[in-house]
Amino acid sequence: MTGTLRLFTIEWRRSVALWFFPLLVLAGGWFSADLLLSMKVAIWANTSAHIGLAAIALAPLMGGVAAWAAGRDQRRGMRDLLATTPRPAPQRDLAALGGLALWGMLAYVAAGAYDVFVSLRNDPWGALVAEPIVVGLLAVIAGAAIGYLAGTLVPSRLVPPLVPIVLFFTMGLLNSGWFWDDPVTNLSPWTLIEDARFGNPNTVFYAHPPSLLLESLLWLAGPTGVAIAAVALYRRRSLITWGALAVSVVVAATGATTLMLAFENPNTGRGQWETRELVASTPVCIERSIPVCVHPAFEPLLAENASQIDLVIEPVLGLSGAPVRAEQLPFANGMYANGTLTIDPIFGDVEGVTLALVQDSVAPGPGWNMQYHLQPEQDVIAIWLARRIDASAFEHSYRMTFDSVAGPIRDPVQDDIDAAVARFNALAPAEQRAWLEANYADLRAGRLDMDDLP
Amino acid sequence: MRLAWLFLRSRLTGPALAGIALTGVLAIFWENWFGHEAEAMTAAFVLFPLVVACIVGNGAHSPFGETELTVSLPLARLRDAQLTGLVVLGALALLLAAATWPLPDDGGTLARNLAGLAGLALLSTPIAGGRLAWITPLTVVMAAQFRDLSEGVASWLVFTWPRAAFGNDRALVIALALLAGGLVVVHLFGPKLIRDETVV
Repeated sequence: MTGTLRLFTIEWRRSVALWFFPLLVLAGGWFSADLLLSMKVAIWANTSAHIGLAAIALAPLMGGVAAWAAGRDQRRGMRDLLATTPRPAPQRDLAALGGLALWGMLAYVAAGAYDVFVSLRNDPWGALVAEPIVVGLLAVIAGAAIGYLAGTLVPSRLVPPLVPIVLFFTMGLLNSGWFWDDPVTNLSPWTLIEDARFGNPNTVFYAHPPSLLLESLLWLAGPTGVAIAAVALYRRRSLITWGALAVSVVVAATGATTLMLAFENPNTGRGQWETRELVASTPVCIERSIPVCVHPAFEPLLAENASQIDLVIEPVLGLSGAPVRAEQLPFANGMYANGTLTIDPIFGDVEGVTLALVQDSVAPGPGWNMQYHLQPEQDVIAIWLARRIDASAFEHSYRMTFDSVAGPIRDPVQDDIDAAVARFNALAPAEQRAWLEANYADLRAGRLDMDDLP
Repeated sequence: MRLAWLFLRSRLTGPALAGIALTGVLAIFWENWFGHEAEAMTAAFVLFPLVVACIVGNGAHSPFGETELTVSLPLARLRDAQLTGLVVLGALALLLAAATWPLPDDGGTLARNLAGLAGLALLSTPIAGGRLAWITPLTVVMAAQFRDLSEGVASWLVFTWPRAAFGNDRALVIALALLAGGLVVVHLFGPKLIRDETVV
């Protein structure tokens, strides 16, 4: 045992992953903390998902590094020499793989510690969730083991780059829209970690669904076991190695099957948020020209949001169809028939607010996402309203939204819209208000055209 | 001529060309499998150029280590011709594959991404060596894939250029500058040499 431990220590100290460690930490940090930094409010469930997301970079990279390390004996021309040593070859492999995996895990922990530090600065809400963090850690180990197996079986110089490419794109594709409604998507650690149960800020409104930790653990431990057993088999065939391989295959198959059975198809209603249990919460409100309310987790953003909403709605305040209250509701945007304007405080949601102000698009209930198809004259007023806050941020976001809906149709009318916005903006506030009082209902109903604008 | 032949053999140019051809064939099948589905094609625009770029970066590896530096022949010129040839043939393979894809700009996007990613691989060879040249382009591709483009393409173009549309002139300039920089750097400094190398 002491000898094995000493061998592991040597491998760990001399591991090639040591040289990659700064890159691994940087890559993990980029993947996990990047979006976290842009959020002005911290939710522990969301932070947990971001910690796990480091594995999306680290697992493929560790695969490449492990494939490179596995070819070491071949590169140094030491395979025959090492074959003469008394210690069994699988023991050497385990020590080498263990040393590599430990560096990968340390990089994962370092990136995760940064995420926690970023979150702690913003007084996080809720509690850390173990599932995405553990899944990420297991994915890093599995990536290293798969890479080590590939590098052992095919000690070619093209294998180290191919392993991370295949791992990264396989995880990405399984998590893409192509497999959106296919149970196989659950086999990607990316899907398991990025699961909306953790990553979506709306999770604060709902109770957590049953954990998939055990299934994920089986699924990710399986390939790791298969890789280790296959390397051992490659070195020396024995009943134990065959047995280990068989057990690993069964474990992986069990994990995969249970994960796929647990898949909730978004197209068939299962897994939809509105079917989950809502957790009662009392919104925090602030009185401006209208009351503005958010979930308690988003209280740090309330004052800023209320000021922005105040500025945007001021020109239409009191008009028929204008909002009488703004509130953050789960998975909702648009305006309700009772005059409640839904807001998304985490992204500022200037876009959603202004679009709801210029069009009669009444949201039927929580969980309903509105599709806006604005007419050019509605565009004009939406842009003019949004420019009362920050033109550049809005225009970028808004144009992307519009382009995704209308595509190239927008281009011919773009100049007309810009000119009309400039003309409307040049009017005196009293004239703007008078025009809105006379035309707001028709504007929202889509009964105007560009000639009706001032 | 014999020298050039031996040089190409020592750099495993045959397997590299086979790898490039295989990548091109896979690119044709990819479009058939996924039918120009948006996310799959977004991945394809970086996946296939990345594989070819890794092959190009790997081609810079010298199996002879420092011993090769003692020869009186112009190694840099041979290396330039070999690496430029790999990039050109790689671009040709991707363009031919993209000819079977439905949109006219697909081939251009693949070629642009190959230029930039191969440039990144070559830029890293003096530090990491040819065998580890894949790390830089892979890291940039992963960063580009993960970055949400709605956050502002322009400000992050240094990372997101592989995902930009073909019409984006700045992305094209970045890619071509990387390729030119990579070829110049590898001409001036060559790949990092490792002692005690054996031919693999």
